[in-house]
Amino acid sequence: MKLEKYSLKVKNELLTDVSVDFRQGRISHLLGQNGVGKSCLAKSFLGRYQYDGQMQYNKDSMVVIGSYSNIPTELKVKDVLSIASGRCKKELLDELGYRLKIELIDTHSKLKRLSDGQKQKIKLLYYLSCKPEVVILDEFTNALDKESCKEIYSFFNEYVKKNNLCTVINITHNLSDLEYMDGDYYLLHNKKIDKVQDKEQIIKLYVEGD
Amino acid sequence: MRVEWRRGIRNYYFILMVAVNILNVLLGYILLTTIDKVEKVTFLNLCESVYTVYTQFGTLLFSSIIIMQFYNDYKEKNVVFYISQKRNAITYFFSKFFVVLSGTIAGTLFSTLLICIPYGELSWIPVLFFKLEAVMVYYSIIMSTIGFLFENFLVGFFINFFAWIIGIVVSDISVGFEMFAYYDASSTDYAKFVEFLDGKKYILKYLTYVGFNYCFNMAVFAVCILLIFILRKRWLKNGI
Repeated sequence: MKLEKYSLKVKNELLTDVSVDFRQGRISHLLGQNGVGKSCLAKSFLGRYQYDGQMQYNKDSMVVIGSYSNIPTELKVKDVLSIASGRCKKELLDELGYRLKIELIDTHSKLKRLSDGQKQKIKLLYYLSCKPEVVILDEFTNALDKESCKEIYSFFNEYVKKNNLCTVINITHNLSDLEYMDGDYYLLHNKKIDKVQDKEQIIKLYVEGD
Repeated sequence: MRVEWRRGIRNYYFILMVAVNILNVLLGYILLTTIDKVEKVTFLNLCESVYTVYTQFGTLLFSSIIIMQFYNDYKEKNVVFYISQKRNAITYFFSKFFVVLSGTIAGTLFSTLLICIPYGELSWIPVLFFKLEAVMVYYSIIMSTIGFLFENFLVGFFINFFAWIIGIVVSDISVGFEMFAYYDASSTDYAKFVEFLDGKKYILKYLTYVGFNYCFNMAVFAVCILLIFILRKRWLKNGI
């Protein structure tokens, strides 16, 4: 997935003339301080904000999974599974369900009755069931306990391995994401997105700030 | 569409709609016996009183239930889910509106039966149902549009309330502005309904007139759809 001369303005100029290429088959971690425009970037993919420049990706095969992409909580788990089954082959759904341990969740429960970790798993199963080419995760481990986080990290490591044509961009504040999921590292600062060579360097840059 | 039906059932929308419609009938009866001091409530008294409740209190009674159908999606950030279902602002509005409308049909049917069955006036069911439902269709269009356009529930609720008040004031200026409070008790439409109850019009002739109510509703619907199309970006702004 490529951004070319991408500029984004939401009240203030957030990103200017950004050109970056996120690799397929890797998790691209995108870090940045509060207010630099990480979530606005993700929302611009959904059409929420207008941008200048070009984004090269298949718009019909992109999902954004964040706190603003919830599934209606009146639905039951079995309803979501039924909707998801209409979007993909049974084998894919079974595999996603197996890797996310969906069998441990009562399928007759409404989503509103589930824990945050269970809701997040159902959300991942639903959005990934369309076999997207681009997955954007926006602070997706927020509000999850350590155990749930680890399960989801492990799931994504496997997912990227199996779907090596898929581009995963992980917008995060949580340094544990970097610890448990190997990938590429990008820092959003000074209205640019810079690739950083390794994990230690990006943690240092992020913790120290500009 | 199936998702919307399930949601409507599970968030008690249909039950609430039926309950408020039944409440309207009870209010109509209570107002007759308390404020109007009617000792023996006749069928025609009750029809007029209940219709008055629908037209005078409907804005307050139904707006919260209908606006909430849209507000919940904005509050819970469900719009991306609908985008993933290949919906856009217009198709989303239509699916929601269809469920809202189904709820009003169920509710109006209950209230019509509650008025007619105790008096054994079953032949009045069609005309009374279509007349009350015409008012409910109008509410559904206006309140759904407001619910769609405003992210904040209270803002939506009060805009709907003030639009209703302003409509009454504007319609009072001239008969030409009656469309702004088409179903209000001060309107010609209301007067014609009372005339009908007084026996000055035959059922068939009046049913034709009720047909005009639906034509008016369709014109309002067309204007609202145009407004939603123009302001379709608000859907993303409100829900993401």
